Amino acid sequence: MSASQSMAALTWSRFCRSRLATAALVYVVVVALVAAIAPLIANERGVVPFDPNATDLAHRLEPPDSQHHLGTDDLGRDLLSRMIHGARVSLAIGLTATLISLIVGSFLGALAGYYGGIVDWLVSRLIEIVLCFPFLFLVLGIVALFRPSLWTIMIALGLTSWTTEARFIRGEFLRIREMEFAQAARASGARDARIIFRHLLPNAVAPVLVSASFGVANAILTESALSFLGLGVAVPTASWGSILSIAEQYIDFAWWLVLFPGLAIFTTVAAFNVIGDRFRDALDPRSE
Amino acid sequence: MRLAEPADDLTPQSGGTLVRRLESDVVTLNPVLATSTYDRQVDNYLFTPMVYFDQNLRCIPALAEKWDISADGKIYTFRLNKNATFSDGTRVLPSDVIFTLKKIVDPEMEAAQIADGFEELDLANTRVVDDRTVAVAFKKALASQLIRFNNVLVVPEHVYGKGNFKTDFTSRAVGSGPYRLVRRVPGQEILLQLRSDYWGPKPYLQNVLFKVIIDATTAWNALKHNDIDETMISSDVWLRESRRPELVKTVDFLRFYTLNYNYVAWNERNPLFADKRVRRALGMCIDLPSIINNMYHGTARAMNGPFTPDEWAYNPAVPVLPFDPVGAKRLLNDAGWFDSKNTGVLERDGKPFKFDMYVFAGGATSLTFAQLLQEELKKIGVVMNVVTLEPALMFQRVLAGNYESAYIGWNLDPDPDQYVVFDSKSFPPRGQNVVFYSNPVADQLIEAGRAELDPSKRVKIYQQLNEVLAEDQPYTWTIQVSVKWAVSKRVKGVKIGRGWGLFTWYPGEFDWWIPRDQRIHDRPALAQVPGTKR
Repeated sequence: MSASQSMAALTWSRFCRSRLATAALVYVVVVALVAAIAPLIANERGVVPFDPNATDLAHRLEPPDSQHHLGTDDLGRDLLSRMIHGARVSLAIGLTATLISLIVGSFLGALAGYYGGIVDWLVSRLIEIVLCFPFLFLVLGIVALFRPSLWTIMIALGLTSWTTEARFIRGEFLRIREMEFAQAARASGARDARIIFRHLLPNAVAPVLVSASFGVANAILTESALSFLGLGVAVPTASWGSILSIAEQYIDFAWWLVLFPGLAIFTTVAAFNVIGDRFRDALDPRSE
Repeated sequence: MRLAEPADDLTPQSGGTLVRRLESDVVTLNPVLATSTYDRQVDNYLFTPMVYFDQNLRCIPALAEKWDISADGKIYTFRLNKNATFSDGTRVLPSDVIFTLKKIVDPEMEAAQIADGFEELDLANTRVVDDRTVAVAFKKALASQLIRFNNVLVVPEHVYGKGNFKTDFTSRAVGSGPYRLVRRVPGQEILLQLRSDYWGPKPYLQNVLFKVIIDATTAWNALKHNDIDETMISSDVWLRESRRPELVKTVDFLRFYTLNYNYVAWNERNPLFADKRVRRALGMCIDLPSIINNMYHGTARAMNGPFTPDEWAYNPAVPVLPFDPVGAKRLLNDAGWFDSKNTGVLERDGKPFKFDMYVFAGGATSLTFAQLLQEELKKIGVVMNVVTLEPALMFQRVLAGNYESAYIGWNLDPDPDQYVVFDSKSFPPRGQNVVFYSNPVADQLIEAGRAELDPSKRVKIYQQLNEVLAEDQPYTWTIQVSVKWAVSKRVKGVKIGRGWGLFTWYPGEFDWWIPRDQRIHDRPALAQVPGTKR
């Protein structure tokens, strides 16, 4: 191991040693790319020549064929087109919700860990209060209180799942705040904000990123659950969960409505979990 | 060998257990406070109304074996069946009838569903005539009054007069019906057993077990696996399963229209919908023929107004609103809505045409309908947001008039009186004119219709009202979906009542029976002491 290798490069090379994890990463990147360019490929004139919201009652609930490659839903909308647009919504929710929880969690965790005392006490109690409520019910409550929309769901998910991140960051801060580099920063007269965000946070964030990748998977699953319960994104916007929720009543004869969104959710969530798992191992110095 | 009756499918045999599906648990077993059709489904076994409906929804004797209506239409004199007893063995007395009526109209009881029919009750002049006769007085003569007595499920005063009427009888019942309550496990099941001392013609089934199964797919699978004997099914299940040979052997698929319809309510308190041209235009964006053919496979019919084709008040000359998006756009232009900024959205005075439509969360067909309308409206430049709401919340908001538009349905009374839903004196919170529709011509017809006691004159009044309402479009009436039911072939004697379906008319479910050799739900424990664990 050369000393010049940075921590990031080292982690990356360790990460790549797992073929499964690499494949999962490639898969997620491909899904993200497809999601990003969804409006370009799935519209009336695109590669997938159907608008995701164009209804056609005469062709409802048709199984996959040469025209509709993944079949149609109960309104005769092309399932493939909706799956592609759904990827956009599901990933956007997963990533944004995680970003929100990362920001909130890191901020509060950092405050608690750095200052200790009454601040720590307050943040820790707040974490406990949030954890008291069953996660899904808390999200349901928030979404039902406001209007179910993309943003409500992202924010609701973000504001209910930051506790893990906060605890990680707090723990890391407690460990590193007395280390030499932190003391050096303090001795040089840096303000608290600078110490926290420039010196401590970058050194504490690695384990949190692991939990964030699980967080994305969790958020995608929760969005599916919300959609399934009828509190997901507003119609006609497609998300994998909302497609699946329609499938429930046609489960006996429209297998394609269940299989494809189910598979998409499963593979994406699994991929994020594999990535998170491998990332954790790669970060662990004892794994060498 | 023992001698036995000859077994066949035509001679009803007493005994056996029927397992019914309950789509939603009952809220209460107190029949005065019943709010849902599910409550009534169970209550019908436990209590007897003053009058039953027959297969054609005409009033026939029940607790009352005879009645007279005074010439001015204000006094209803009922003679009770002298054999009638409650399940605790006591006789049904005229005072029990008055007690029940008092509870129905007591505003504290919030018996909203039933109280509507007794707004004109004159309690001061209602009295016991003799030990089996009661005279019920009204302040105003109404043509629809007699049928309201079908909702008067009489409870015994000596039981229900003690304790808290609102909360003490949710899982207890003492009634004069043919069955008595064995047990209720909230959220799960309700078991009823035939009374050995029942005073009327005895039904055939020994036990009726209601199983609460909310999910439609689960219920259909339960029927296929013989866990239940009957369930309502969706149009899609009907289309795909009702012709499968292996199912046709074991399941009867029934289809019929009941008294209900679906509609879009446009809240006229909202300036968007105050103009009838706008309401008409929006309604013209609903492709009813396509919905009927593709979603319901032809098993639904388009509505032209508030009366179904099965009702005598229906006016066949009134046209159904056509599907015509081009005409709709023209109407909206006439009403001042233009796409002046080329945004694809119509505007008037700088305001975009944008509104919310409430639909039931979980009601898949409502959501489908709403999305179709949303897509059509988008094409003519109207933005409609679909908001799914939990049913209880949606009822609350709509009944309070606190919404913009909503896709809902009504279950109708056998009488066509429209006072509660379209008269301008019935605005929420007092009445159910949830769209705040107000037209003096309609008001006059509605009030004439309910006061007119001559049936042939009533027909004319309601046919005219049908025209007026179709012209004003306070609702966009959409469709009446026929009800599809699956009943196990083991069950015999199943008949369809006009407008009422399988249950709660007479004899209806009391005629059902199961041949002795096909009673798969009988378990020895059921015949034992109530409360024994199965």
